Amino acid sequence: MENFIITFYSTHLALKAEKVLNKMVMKIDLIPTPREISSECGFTLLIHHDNRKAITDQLTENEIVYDEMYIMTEINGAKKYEKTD
Amino acid sequence: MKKLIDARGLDCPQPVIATKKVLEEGDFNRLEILVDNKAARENVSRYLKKSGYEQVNIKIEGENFRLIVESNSVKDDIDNRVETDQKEYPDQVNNVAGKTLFIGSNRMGSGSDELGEKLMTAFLYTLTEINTPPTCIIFMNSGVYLCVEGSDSLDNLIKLNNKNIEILVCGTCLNFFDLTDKLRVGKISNMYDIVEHLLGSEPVLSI
Repeated sequence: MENFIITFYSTHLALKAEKVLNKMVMKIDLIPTPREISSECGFTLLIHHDNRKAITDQLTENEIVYDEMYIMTEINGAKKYEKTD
Repeated sequence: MKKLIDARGLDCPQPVIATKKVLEEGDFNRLEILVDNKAARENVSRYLKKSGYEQVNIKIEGENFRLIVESNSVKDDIDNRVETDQKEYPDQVNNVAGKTLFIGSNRMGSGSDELGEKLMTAFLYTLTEINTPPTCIIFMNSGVYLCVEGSDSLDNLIKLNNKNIEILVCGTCLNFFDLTDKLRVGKISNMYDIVEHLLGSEPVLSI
């Protein structure tokens, strides 16, 4: 299980993605985009899941274009974001 | 001399007001307050403790609760009273520089209900991330929806509560929305406690 973050081009897309992914029954939070990440949109999805591909497939299937994806790790309370495909 | 307050059937915050009156009159060895709901039990019990009655015995009698204090259990010593308050409100003592947040709605701002709800969830999440959280958060009217079963913010509020941030939830509002049994985080509170917080020494931010 890993934590990762998906950014979007608009608030509407972020809200739509949350709705679509919520149906997959998993831990998902709509959070403000972390300061360390630059994004067009103030909302970002924080997802706890073991299969990143399943998530992106689901978004593609629903024609939701996302911006970037980041793996989030936490070391001694400090969060680090690493861009991934 | 024993005194009995029958506060059954009284709406919040009447049971606390009745208790306050009798405490001011004094002239009792034993005071019993009979209430018929959990919110009143919490509010009266907290009021008694704040007034120096450390030992509040609560008996369950069917649907009702009988709160009992003895006048010799009152702490008159000021030092002791401070100690009691620290136990009861550790956050207020350890985090004196903070602010009180007043949240009177389950949405942030107006314009779109959907967006307002998401903004509020994101706002409460952000409180868990920052280094200068408030000392107290007060939830009123539809704001109480954030503290009950099924709320998207429940995990974040529990996190905040575990960091010693006091969470006060309006009992009248929970009752109005029929949510009292679904409360999952925070203390049921009344207008007296809430007004005391709002007019207290801490700055208040209304969301």
